[in-house]
Amino acid sequence: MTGPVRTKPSARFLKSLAKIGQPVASRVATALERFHAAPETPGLNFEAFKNRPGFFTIRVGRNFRILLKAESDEDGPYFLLADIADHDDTYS
Amino acid sequence: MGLPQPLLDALRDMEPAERFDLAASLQEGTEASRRKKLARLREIVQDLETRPARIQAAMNALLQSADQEKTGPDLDQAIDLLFEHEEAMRKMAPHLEDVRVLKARAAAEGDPVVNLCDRWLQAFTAILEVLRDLRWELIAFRAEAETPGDAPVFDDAQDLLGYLKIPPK
Repeated sequence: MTGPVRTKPSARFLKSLAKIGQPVASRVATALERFHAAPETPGLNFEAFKNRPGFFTIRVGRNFRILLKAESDEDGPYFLLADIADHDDTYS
Repeated sequence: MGLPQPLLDALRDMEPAERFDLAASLQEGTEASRRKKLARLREIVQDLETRPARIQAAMNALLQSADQEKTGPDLDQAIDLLFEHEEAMRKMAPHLEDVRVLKARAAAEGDPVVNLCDRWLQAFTAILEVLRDLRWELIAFRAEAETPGDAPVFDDAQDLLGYLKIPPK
């Protein structure tokens, strides 16, 4: 990935974030700071979403993930923060 | 349009199987009652093993109907429903540990119930995974259809966190 990472929070992301609440906020801050600095940072698990081209996820702690959608505008590519939701990685 | 009946059915009648206390039931009672409980357990395991495919099939139908009908199903409701069931099953984590202990003891004693314990644990985990993964498929599906809103694009994480009203770390 080249150039600075750009992100845009969607209306759905804002709604889901408000629903999840403050306890997760600091982990969201850490994940977004790391993502902007270097998306490939180990631990973020930046990966393509299965069967949905253009969608990706990053991990927020062990129990949440942010859904990202690759978009672009006149200034270049950016990631839409499409949603955030519970994703327990401990099942398997 | 509501949720498809097969999905509601696959989720609704899961409760008795979820609540069966495998470990406790095999540790108590006479040999005859234990045999009876083992037979019941086999039925429950067989039922649990069919769940992921049933839930998957119902969800595929839901996604297909959403593709065909522009009005679409109530995705929010479906996502919430899947999460409710996932959470309800997750609350059984201590119970899973009991089964693991029972399995270890059965293995040490050469008891064939070890195979049933294994199947129960695998089926249970498979259901949790399918509920989680299908919920996320619906979340992505919904994200494809929704308009993104009018928030600005940020190239600085601190500006983004300020907009989100999250204090930086």
